[in-house]
Parts: sequence; structure tokens; C-alpha cells
Amino acid sequence: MSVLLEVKDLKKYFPLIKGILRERQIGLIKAVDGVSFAIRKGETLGLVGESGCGKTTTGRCIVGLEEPTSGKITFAGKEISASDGLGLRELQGRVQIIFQDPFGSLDPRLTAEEIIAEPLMVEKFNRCEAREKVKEVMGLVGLDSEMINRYAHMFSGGQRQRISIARAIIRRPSLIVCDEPVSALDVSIQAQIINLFMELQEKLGHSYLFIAHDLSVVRNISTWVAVMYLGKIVEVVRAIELFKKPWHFYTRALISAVPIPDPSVEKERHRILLKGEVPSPLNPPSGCHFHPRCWEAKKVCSEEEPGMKEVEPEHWVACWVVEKQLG
Amino acid sequence: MMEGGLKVQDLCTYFFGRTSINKAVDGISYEVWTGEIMAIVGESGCGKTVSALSLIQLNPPGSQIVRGQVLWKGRDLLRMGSDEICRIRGKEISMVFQEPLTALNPIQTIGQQIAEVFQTHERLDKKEAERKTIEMLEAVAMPDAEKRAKSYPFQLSGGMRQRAMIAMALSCKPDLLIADEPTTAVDVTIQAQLLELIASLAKEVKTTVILITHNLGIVARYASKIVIMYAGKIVEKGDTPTLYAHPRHPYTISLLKAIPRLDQESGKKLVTIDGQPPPLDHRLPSGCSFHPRCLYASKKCKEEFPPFRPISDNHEVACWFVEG
Amino acid sequence: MFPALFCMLTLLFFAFQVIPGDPVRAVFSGEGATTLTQEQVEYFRNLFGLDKPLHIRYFKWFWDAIHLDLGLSIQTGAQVTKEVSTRLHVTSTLVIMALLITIVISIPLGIFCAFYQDKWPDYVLRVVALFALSMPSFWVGVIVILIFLYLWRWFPPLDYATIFTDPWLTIKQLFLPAFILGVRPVGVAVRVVRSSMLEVFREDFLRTARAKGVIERLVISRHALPNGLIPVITFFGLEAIILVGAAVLIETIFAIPGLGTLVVDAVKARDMYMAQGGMLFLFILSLVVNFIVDILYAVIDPRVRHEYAREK
Repeated sequence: MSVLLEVKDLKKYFPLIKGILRERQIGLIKAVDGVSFAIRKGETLGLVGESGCGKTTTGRCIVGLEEPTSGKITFAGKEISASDGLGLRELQGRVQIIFQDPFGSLDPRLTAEEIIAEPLMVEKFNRCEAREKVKEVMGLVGLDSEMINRYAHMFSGGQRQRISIARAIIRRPSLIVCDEPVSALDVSIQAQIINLFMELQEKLGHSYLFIAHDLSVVRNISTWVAVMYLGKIVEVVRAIELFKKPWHFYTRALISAVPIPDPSVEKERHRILLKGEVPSPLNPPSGCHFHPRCWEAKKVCSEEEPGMKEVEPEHWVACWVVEKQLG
Repeated sequence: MMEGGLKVQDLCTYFFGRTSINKAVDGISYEVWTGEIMAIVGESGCGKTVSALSLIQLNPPGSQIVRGQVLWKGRDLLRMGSDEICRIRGKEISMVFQEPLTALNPIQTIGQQIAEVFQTHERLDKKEAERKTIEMLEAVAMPDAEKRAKSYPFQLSGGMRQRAMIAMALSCKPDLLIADEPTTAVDVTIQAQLLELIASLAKEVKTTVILITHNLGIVARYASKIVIMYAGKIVEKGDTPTLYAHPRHPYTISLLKAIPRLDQESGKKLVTIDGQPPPLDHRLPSGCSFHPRCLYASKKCKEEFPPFRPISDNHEVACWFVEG
Repeated sequence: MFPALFCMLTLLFFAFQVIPGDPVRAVFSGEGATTLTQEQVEYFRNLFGLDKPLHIRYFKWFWDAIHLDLGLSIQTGAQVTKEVSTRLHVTSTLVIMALLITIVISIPLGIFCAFYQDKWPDYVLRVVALFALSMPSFWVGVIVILIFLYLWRWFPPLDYATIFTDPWLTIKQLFLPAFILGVRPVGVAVRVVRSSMLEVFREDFLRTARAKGVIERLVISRHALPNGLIPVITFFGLEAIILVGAAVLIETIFAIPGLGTLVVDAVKARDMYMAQGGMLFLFILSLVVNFIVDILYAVIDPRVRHEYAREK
């Protein structure tokens, strides 16, 4: 299968500026600190991690909403650079984004039609053709086309998310970046939207970069899962393998922290409790960023940063201890 | 009912608007035994938060507790005067809220806010209150407790703020702790830490816990008893193993099937419930409010809300279909 | 602050260039004045530096102002700086008293209205507030003087005491003008306090305080009030500045020897330097008030105090 998106050593740093009269930079927030991955056509990469790990920033860099500090993003073989105006516009036809907050990300004073048809304004469609397209995608996402003239604020959370999805797919993009699209929804609605994502992928064949903090959701929908911690990816593995054999210790702690809705299973599970909190991206720990909280940390972990190594077929981990263990 | 337990009977809290009545809580009854952790589960809008607030007469402005009894240590909490209920709040019954950033006073240090509990109930002088505050912060594993006591809420992370709230709630060693979605706003590893903390502290001091949540995973891990709410009413209640193994109400069954599980195959389609939870005003479906979304709905379901029928010792369901 | 000062100095200078009429002739055209010979006009113009080109005059004004030498009064020949600073505390006293009166009346009323939201006391007070803010203070001033004159044969004092010479007398004398000055802002302030308090009443942390067992009275006084009054500080800061402007009119009506009357008289007499100097001090008074408001904000709200709010 062909590689659709390739990200190499992506970095995004935000300078922290202080001062009234003379502004000086007193620090650097290393939101994304050297992230590399690839997404193949028709597959879903789940990017999972807790708040502050940089997953949202990564997604925004890929769509062009943020300009990377360094690194290479290649889409369908062509390198993207945000500074090149044409490159960005062309990209926007092939890559789309869906946001988390269904209430904040839609302009409440626009009708469903206006919102969904907005991406079409770039290409020259007349109103009739545009309307036909809008009705078509509304059908695809399970919205009644009768509601085409309703204002955004009249829809429920789940319906708004469907509108966002309709807007994202109307130009048939090859890659859709989904930034926590179901976190703000109720459980029963969440299930509907997750199913919708999978249905659409079957029908239209696009790929997803699915960003979320809910490991269960990510694992359900993804082909591959990448775990992020403090700006770096610590583990990449097929979703099926994730629960069976997590190698990185942060991944293990993360999985352990997710409760499974089954008391008999829960009773048997071994619980790992991490101490402390995620350090600030202003001042990440030296070497492996996870070492202060890792119960298996060795001396080398605080000195040198481990690189991503393929420790098993189709399983990449960034950890000195694991690397040594698996030879 | 044992000493220290809570018995809720036919609690009804309605919101009175200009044109309609919103029946946020419509006749719920349950019992919690001393020392156990009971979970009230439901989606947003089902009334679980309002029902919990009503227990200590904290129901939101614009609403009124229309009916019901909340029996606590032989007295009815709903019939108490404001002086009496103020003595109980924070001392015998405490609450932890969902979003600690808005639930804390932004211009007071968290030390001051925790000390306020001691000053209100135990009449301690300033030094004593400060000392006990730091003790509490250490008990909730707040890093750098002394320093944090002098910090303002905006200076702390979400996890630390929630720890401060837990410290505040447990200061006077209450007999009952009501935790309203205490971990919804924090990361999953912090969630694990906080819940373990609540569970272990509660065990230590023999505090009863009512845990309100929509997360059926947390419930499976921590709760011994569950109450499922839908559209202002309880539809099923029972002890945890039974409910998960043999759910009977169609809503409960669908809810359990709709959650993605970490230990299941990936790529599998989730079983969904069509439609969405109904609004609680005049548009509320008649009879059993779940009937428009229920696969097994019959004519009777539209007419009357079913009574509770015991399935087994610790399991009750309100459903015409289950009844047979 | 400094950019504002710079702009103000420049604006003041050019504003007074626009006013028609030659200052020297205007001064000497008063009653009992002799007509001047051209020589004498030239002499006076030279004395006051009025014959120099525009840009030189501008720079001189600027330079002198920074050194607090505001020139000489064309009318009296006295030092402008001295004259102005003598009157500064009169106007300041008036403005501060007016502000205090506004605060003392509007805060309790605002809280009261918020408490009884949408009930009859709230409506009544809001209507009264509407009346208060619709009446221009100078009009009220004149009407009050007329009424007092008619009913009690009371005249405004001819000789005002200053706060340094006789504080109690000063307060008694300035009370009426300060009250009239303070009434209009009360109308607006009550609404501002009311809406700010209503917003705070909706906040979650009040619920937390109640859940801790704090009695209602203390929930309001300890938690709601401090938070609710923070936005009100900005409002009073702005009001104070507006008050400085309104004070000018009130001073004129009550013949109070403050900065306001000084400036008005100077402008009438085309006494450029006096007017500029007076205006400058009025402006500085406004700046100081603004500054105090900013500091007050930082003192009360810890979020402002800490430059980097750490949020996760």
C-alpha cells in the first residue's frame, strides 16, 4: 500500500516571551519535539496521549494551521511547506480537519448548507451543483437533508459533529485529521459517530489521523496506534497488538489506567499507578522524558534520549530498557 | 439500614420556567449502605447531578425540590432549616465537583479555602487551621504541600486542583462523600491516581461514597453498587457484578454494548442506540421515556412508566418488557 | 504612560494655536485697558515668546514642560506652574469626594438590586438610576443652587477653605458640589455593580462554598463580593476620569477656585500658557487615577499579579 503522508522529525517550538519594555525570550515550549510517522492509504493512525503531549499541535502542523519549526512533511510524494502559498491551498483540497468542540467549531449563525458548502467556494461551483453535493454528503453522514436550511445552533452535539464531518468530506480528501472528535459527546452518541467514521472510511477510502486521549476509542478505530509523551512518540504498534503487548512503560501505565467496563476483568488486572504529573514542556527532563516517573529507569535513561527502534516486526519503541531486553 | 447510610425516597426536583416544567429528577429512590461506593450512572441531561445536589438542598436556582425524603441518620435532610443543613454540609456530607477551576474561588489561595472548612465547623484558630490544611494536602499526595497551600487555583494543574477539592471535602472526615464526575476534566493517568486516592481515603475513614459518572469503566473498577438513570428516572439498579453480567433494561444493555473496550477486537462496529437522550420538559416522551429509542417498546411503554420489579436479591429493573 | 504624555503635550500645544485671537491684545482689551502701541505689543509678544516661529515655540513648550516650567501667565505674569499647583488639591479633593460618594451609594444599591433581581425593588431602583444618569450635573447644580437660594437663602461660599487649612470646613463646603457631581455616575454605577454581581452569583465556586457548610451571609460577603467588585474597579477608574471633566463645570457654577475655573478663565482670556498648564495638570490627574486603578487591580486580583498564569 502506498504511503500517503510521511512526517520526518517534526518539531514545533513556541517561544515564551516576557517583558514590558524590552521583550526577551525566557524559554521555549517544545510542544512537538522530533516526531516521525507515516500513514498509508486507507489506514487510520491513532495518535494518543495525555494533555500537553503535543498530539493536537502535530495535527495542526499537518493541516497547515501551524508552521513547523523544523522537519519534513511529505504528502503524496510532494513536500509541504507552509510558506509556499500554492502548496498550502493545494494541500487543503486533499487534507481536512475535524475539531473537538461541536459547539465552538461551527459558526452558530450559519445554516448547515452554508457550513458544509464552504470548502466548495475554492472551486467554482454554482449554487445548484453545490447544493446537490451538500445533500449528497448529508446523506452519507446520516443527516436529514430537510435540515439543510437550519441554523447551526439548532442542532444537537452529535448532529453538529456530523455537520463537521460532512464539511470535511465534501471535497473527498485523502486524509482527514480528527482532533478529539468524540470527546465532547455522550457515550451513546459517541458510538454512533465512531461507527460513522469507520463506515465513511469503508465507502470513500480515505485515511485518518485520529487524535484522542481516550485509548479505548483510539484502539477501536485505528489500524496503527502511536503513543505520545511530552512531545515525542514513545511507541508505535498495530492497534490489535497494543493491548496484548505494550512495551514502553508509559504505554503500560496508560493502559493500566484505563478502566475496562467489566468488573470480573477489572478484578484480575494489575494496576500501575504513576507518581506525579506530566512535567512542563518548558523544561522537559533530560534523556528519556519519561525517566523521572519510570519505575524501570536506568542511568542511561537520564543521560541520553532513546531513538525509535523496531524491537519486533511492526513494533517500534523508544526505550533503552526495552531495547536491551529484546536485543 | 445501618448507621451512616443514606435512604432516598421519591425525590423530585423540577425546574419551573415561564412556559414549561422541566422534570430534572422525577421520583428516584435508592439506598446506600455505610462504607460502600455507589455509582449513579447516566448520560448528560439525565438528572444525576441535580439529584446529587438536591440531597443536601443545593439544587440549582430556578429549581425546587417538589417531593421526597432523604433520610440520613434518622433525619430528613430535605426538611431541615438552613442552619441545620449548613452544619451537615462539609462536615457529615461533602461534595467534590467536576470542574475544579470554576469550582474554586479564583482570588483565594487553596490553603485559605481548605482552612475555611476547619474554621466553619471546628472553630479552630488561624494557626491550627493552617497546620491541619497542610496535613490534608499531604494526605492527598499534593507535591510541595506547604508551597501549594499558598498558591492560587490558576497556578495549579487540573490534577492538583482536584486534589485540593478532595482535601477540602475530606477535611472534617465526612460520613458521606458525593463525587460529581470528579475525574472527567483530567487526564486518564491522573484520573487513576485520583480515584485510587478517593477509594483508599474513603476506606481508611470508612466514608460512604456516591460516585456520579458516565464512565462505565470507572464504575466497574470502583463501585460496588450501581444506579442507572435515564431522563430523570432510575431505570435499573443493582450490585456491580450482577449488572454487568446480566443487564436487563434495554438502555443498560445498549449502553454497555456502545462502549469501546480496550480488550476487545479493534475495528469492530459498536452497537448504537438510535436518536439521543430527550429533553426533560414538555417534549419528554410519555410513559417510559426510553420508548422512542427502544427496540422492544410496546403500547404499554408509551402509556405508563413501569414500576420497579426485583430480578434477584440485589437487582431491580423498571421495564415492561422485562416484566414479561 | 509616557507615550500618552507626549501626545497630550503635543495636542495641547496645537489646540491652543487654533484658538483665534491674539493673546496679547485679548489680555489688554479688558476693561479699563489702554490701547497698545505696536511697540508695546511687540514687546509683550517677545516677552512671552510669541514672536518665535511655530516649531521653536513647540520645542520650547515641550522642553519647559518636562522641566515643570509651564511658562508665564499672559494675564498676570505669574508663574503658571505655581498657580496651577496651588489649585490642584482643590479639584482633587472635589473629585475624590465625588467618587467616594458615588462608591458609597452605588455599591450597596447595586448589590441590593442584584439580590432582588426582577422583583419590584429592583425595577424601582433601576428607574431612579435612569433618571440620575439622564440629568447633566451642571443643570442639577444650577437647579439645586436656585432651590437652596429660594428656600433657605443659602449662597455658595465666597471663600473656600482648602483641605490643608481646614479639613472639616472644606468637606462641609465641598459636600454639596461633590454630591451633585457624584449623582449622575450613581445611575450608571448601580447598573454596573448589579450586572457584575449577578454574574458572580452564577459562579460555581459559590456552590462549593455552600457545600462546605458556609452560611449564606458569608458566602456572599466572603466569596461573591470580592469577585464581583473586581470588574467594578475598572468602571470607577473610568468614571473618575469623566468626573474630572465634569468637575470643571461644577466648579464654575459653585465658584470653586479649582483647576477647572482656572482653565475656563484662562481660555476666555486667551491666556495660552495658563490654559495649557491647567489642562496638562488635569490630564496628569486623570493619568494618576488610571494608574491607581491598575495597581488596585493587581492588589486585589492575584491572576493579574502573576504574569504567567500556569494553566493545564
